Amino acid sequence: MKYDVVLFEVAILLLIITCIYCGVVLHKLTLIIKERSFIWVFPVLASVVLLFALVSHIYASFILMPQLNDSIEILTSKNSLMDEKIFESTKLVIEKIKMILLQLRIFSFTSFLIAAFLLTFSGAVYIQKISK
Amino acid sequence: MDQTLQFYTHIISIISGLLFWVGFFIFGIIAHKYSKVFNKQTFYLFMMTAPSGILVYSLLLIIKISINNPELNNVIQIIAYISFILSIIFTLIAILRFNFVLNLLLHYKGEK
Repeated sequence: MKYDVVLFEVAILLLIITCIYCGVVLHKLTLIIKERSFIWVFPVLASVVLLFALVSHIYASFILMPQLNDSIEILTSKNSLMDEKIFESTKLVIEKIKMILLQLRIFSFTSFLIAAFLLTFSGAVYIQKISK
Repeated sequence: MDQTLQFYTHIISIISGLLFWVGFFIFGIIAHKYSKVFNKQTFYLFMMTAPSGILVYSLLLIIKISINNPELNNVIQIIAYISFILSIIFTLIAILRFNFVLNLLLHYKGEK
């Protein structure tokens, strides 16, 4: 198991909890200024988006990566090198897994960006409200 | 294609890291304003400094891209992730403390 993968996933999990608490804090802050506002929803939404990113990252690192390693092992095995059919089919499987991994990576990082934007936006809106 | 995507994900994580830092820093500014208005300790300085590890994470990623040395890259990545985790832990503690102060304020307002 790669330590950096686990570290990243723990960080995202902690970030999810922090975003939820930011939502709670914003909700209380809107209660204090007695203004009906739903800006507290944005950090909660950010945590949901991060949760999707975390699930996709876990799926990629704990299900797809071992599958990819197995397929590479098959591809480089003697049987595969002797048989063209096995070689070609394994090559196709590897290409498919690599494509899914790339898509999941893009999804995961884009979710990270969306979550960051949602959190910053909610804080900025609140600060603008109290600065009036 | 692979290198372009790698570059894209790095740029996205740097921008996200910076945005998260700004977002948490804004919460620190809000806490600062509340500490002035209600004359209560909101630990705003801790709230403002706790997310700096996210900034370190973004900076280390920039260094990682510019150095492009596979052996050094792994070390930089692990240091970046550790600083990111530590920063998030401190930020969570700061937010929880602020939440506790807000609970007290709301309780006081309810009594009034």
